[in-house]
Amino acid sequence: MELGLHEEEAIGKVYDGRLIQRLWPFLRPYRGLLAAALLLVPVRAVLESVPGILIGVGLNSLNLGGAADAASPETAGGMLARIPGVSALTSPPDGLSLISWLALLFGAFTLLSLALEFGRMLAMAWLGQCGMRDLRSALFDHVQRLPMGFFDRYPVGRLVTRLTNDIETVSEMFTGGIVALIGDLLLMVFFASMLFWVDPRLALVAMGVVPFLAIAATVFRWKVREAFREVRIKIARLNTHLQETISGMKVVQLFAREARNLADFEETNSSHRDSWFRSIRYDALLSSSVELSTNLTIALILWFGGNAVIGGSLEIGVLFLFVDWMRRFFRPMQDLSARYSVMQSSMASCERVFELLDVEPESSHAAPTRLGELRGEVEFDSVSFAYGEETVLDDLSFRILPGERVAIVGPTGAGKTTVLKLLIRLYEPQRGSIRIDGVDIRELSRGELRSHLAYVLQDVFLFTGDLKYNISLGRPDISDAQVGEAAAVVHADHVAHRLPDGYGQQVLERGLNFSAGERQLLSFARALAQQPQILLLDEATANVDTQTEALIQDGLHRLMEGKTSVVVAHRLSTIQDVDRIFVMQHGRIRETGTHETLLAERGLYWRLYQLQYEGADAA
Amino acid sequence: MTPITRLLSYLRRVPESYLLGAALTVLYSVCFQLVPLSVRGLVGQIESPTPQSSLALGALWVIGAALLLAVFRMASRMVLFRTAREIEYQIRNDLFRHLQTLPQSFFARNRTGDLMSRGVNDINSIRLFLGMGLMNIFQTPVLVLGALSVMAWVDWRLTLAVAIPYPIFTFVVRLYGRRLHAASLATQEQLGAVSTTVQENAAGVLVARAYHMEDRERERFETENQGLYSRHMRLAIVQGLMQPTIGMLPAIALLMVLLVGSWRVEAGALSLKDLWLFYIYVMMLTFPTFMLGWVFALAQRGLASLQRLGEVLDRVPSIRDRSDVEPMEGVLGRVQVEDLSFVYPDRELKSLSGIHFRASPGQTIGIVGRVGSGKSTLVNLIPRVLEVPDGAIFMDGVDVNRVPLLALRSSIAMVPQESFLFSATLAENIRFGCPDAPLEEVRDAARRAHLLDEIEDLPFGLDTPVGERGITLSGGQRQRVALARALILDPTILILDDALSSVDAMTEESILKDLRRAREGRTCFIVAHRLTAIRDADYILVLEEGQLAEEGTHAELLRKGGAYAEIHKQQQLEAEIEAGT
Repeated sequence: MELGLHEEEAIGKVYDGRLIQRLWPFLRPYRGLLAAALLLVPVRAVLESVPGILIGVGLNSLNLGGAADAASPETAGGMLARIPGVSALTSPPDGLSLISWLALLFGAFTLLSLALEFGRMLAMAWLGQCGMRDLRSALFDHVQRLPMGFFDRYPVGRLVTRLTNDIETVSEMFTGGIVALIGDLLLMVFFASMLFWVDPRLALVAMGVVPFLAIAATVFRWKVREAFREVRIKIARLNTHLQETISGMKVVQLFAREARNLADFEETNSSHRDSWFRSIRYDALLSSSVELSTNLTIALILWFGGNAVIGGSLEIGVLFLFVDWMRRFFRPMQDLSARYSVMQSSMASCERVFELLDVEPESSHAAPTRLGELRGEVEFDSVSFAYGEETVLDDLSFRILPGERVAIVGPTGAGKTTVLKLLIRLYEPQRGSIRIDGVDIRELSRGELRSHLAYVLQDVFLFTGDLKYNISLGRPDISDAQVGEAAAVVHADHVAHRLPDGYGQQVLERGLNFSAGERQLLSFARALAQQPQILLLDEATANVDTQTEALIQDGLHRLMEGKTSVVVAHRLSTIQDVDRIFVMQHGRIRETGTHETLLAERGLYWRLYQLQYEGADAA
Repeated sequence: MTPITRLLSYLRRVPESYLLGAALTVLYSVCFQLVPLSVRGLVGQIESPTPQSSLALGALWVIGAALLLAVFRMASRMVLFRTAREIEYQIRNDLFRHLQTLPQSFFARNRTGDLMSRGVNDINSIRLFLGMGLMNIFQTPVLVLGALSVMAWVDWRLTLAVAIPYPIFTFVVRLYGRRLHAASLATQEQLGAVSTTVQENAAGVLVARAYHMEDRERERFETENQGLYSRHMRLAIVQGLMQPTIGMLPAIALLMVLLVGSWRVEAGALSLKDLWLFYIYVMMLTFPTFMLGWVFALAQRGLASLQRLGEVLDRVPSIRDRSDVEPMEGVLGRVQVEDLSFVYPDRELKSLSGIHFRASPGQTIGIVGRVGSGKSTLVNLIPRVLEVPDGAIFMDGVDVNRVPLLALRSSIAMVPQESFLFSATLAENIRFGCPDAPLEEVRDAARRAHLLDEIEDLPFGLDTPVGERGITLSGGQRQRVALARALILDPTILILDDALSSVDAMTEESILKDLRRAREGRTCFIVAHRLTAIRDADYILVLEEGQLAEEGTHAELLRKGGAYAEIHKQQQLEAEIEAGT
């Protein structure tokens, strides 16, 4: 579970084929969108090439100075007419001057090209968001199937980060990462080959700067990547340091560690700054080189192309075309470093998400048995259970008859609550078996098992939502009337009645607007509304006023009525009323009997009772 | 301090860098004009060639201009962005330094998440403003004014036609910006809703499993997830619309060059080289124009962030050395408490009232009482973790508020209730208060905290990382590390604030027995739940609702048969049952 240790190392990668492969199943259903986005790239490339042609034709038609006569529409295309379709574009309909026609076409193509660009971006965003929505669902679904032990180790905050920020970062891969990179590359290849096709010699000159820029870009990219990696590691360290100092400020101040701590922080901070200095140097170099290359290329085209124009072998329009297309060729290089950093962070997040998806879920029985009508007999047969190395239940055996009410008592750490948790299969025993109506609970599906049982926890957890939801727990087959009835039986209706919105009252975060006693009554109503045949109850220890205490006791009796009940009990009044009492110690049952017989034994129970009694007296 | 004065105070720390950066940026903007002009010259030569002229010279002009531009671009960016990072560095240090002077009451009121967001997001947006923002503020006016004058000099009519869309678009982009902001805010909110759902699901996992709610939880999550998806898509549409809209600006300007330009050429007012000048300008100016719209947002956000940082930086530390401080190297351990009362800032009820006692070096004071009786408050006042009222606590006869904070705290070692460990190795955690302690002392402290055997069983021993990123220690182990961290200091005053509650009774007893031997000449305060821990104390204080209910030695208090005796009886019974028959 040492996921944290990998976090820094995973930062460096820009592309990881293995991760993309794992991501693919989530994108597959939307491959049509991916295809559309990729198909739009060449279309867009063609459309983007048009404005340059149109202006080139326009410049030719202006018949300025030097070279060829190009006044008539037929020759307006000139050399540009070699490009397929251009001659069709350059013959204006009757009554329209060439320039107005070109302007019209220019406007139309621009709009079309922008519309397609919008379409492409939307398709990519759509693909990414659909895929990420599904990934998020799959991850949440996976978390629902993880064993309880997982939640004891994995902090909630980290889980939240995986499902929110990490997946958000992965989605950036679609809008600004790999697909955009592919599109950019295609665009550059397209413009380069078009230029070679129009005039290979001039294209060679125009491309003269490109190899140098490519080498420079590769070197810088590599350097920037290193610098970025350093920056990320250092900012992570800085933020951890800041966060830890804030959370541990009391210790820092108590141990007068401020000066040393500040010195450490300043050191990391300054090395973070220095990494940025390096990164800034490369970044500024790269961005200036791209600008410089664009301008140098213009100079080269005008120089060599200009000579050809003067010599009459080239039209001024082609010259313009070269300048315009080369500019479009260079543009993607401006975004290169941004694309890289996006890829780096989304790969790292992707890795973390899949790490969580790789945690083994709970096992389930292949062909579960169905229980049918339940009598409610519960049996533990030589059950042993340990949390890690600590033995909690040690060869525990007992049988509870249908409809019997049993209380489990014993000192802290005796394993009382564990009995309930194993019975409802939140954890699996290492040895022995647990049977309900003679069926091993491992042969049942967890859903089937839990639909017959209701477990009232010691700490009542209330969900955000209204009171009704907290009683029905969102089960659609529990009507409002049933919610009201269940609440009335266990006196939880008092809680609802005091509230302005009754059962529609919203529960604040973690149920802060309810007292401990009220929350217990609500948890009784919740259990009753689920109509279980077997009731498991872990009594709360919180102090409540005597009036509420009376309500709770009466509610509890009504709740147990007609059900097999296992109660981990802390209150004397609860104990006195049950059919049998198990006294547990060190993971075993030490004494069994009713309140009276156990007291008469003057054993462990008697002493526990004394303790309670004395304690109650002292308080 | 207002955000603006704070900004200026930071700029003043590196004035020459900013002046240099501004100068370089202005030079860049001026050189910027050379490129279109030299291209115009070159095209002019192509347009009307003279036999003796060579294009090479014209091309060299362009190349020269381009080189100059590249140099200034690089230099200005490097200087300004570096300076922004330098200031970021200083702000972050200032924040860190200041946070360390603030009292616990501040951290109780301000959540870690909120402070972190100030330390991360706000510093980021300030840095963006100082770098990108200021660069554009220096650059854009010069750039645009220069370009407009050159273009107008060539042909003011065409200039007007080309320039008109720009301000309109800046406006449109700002409008978009607002919608974009709203859409991304909505997305952030929904992301918050998703994370709340996950948080609740994980926190309530026991109930969800026990009542077989997985499917319903999935549905709940699906609703939020779908909501997030649709908000993301709405954001994508706004973003997707913005980009093509931005792309339309140079297109419209180009159209103007084509239409109006050709008309002007036909009228004989313009030549081809002028058209090229306009073309190059249109291409080069597009980006800086948009940046201008963005700069407003950057400035707004940067100033808001400075304000938020100011809320922390301007807070005057309430616990610090005052002007009437006594020069002291350390304290000897004579503690005197006189009629001490204490109220937490936001509460009405006194947490402590009328407490008084004395403790001398070599003495151990035990403090017991129910939850909320004020035990912890009392011991937290001694090292001034909380604000101590004047004339209530005296160290060696000097009011504790007049003892230098450093002298006071370096004489005291405290093991707080919550044993916070840092993400570092065990050894680093133990030598937290004396980073240069030799390994032998670290081992010795670990031994005295009954930790050494367990540590040596770990694969990396004392070098095993713990805390957030390290192995998970049990509660008892964490408490013993915290104890070792205090013991290594060899303090004159040792305070254990219910510090061994998760350690089993046997180990606790033997730790305390060892401690007893080392207590000589040292003042000890032990807050405990289990009476066995303080049975041997020289003096025991029993607190009830902030008041001293009983005091005396163990034997005296038992004889008295009051609250202490009652607790004692109950705990004995518990112990007997725990031990088994």
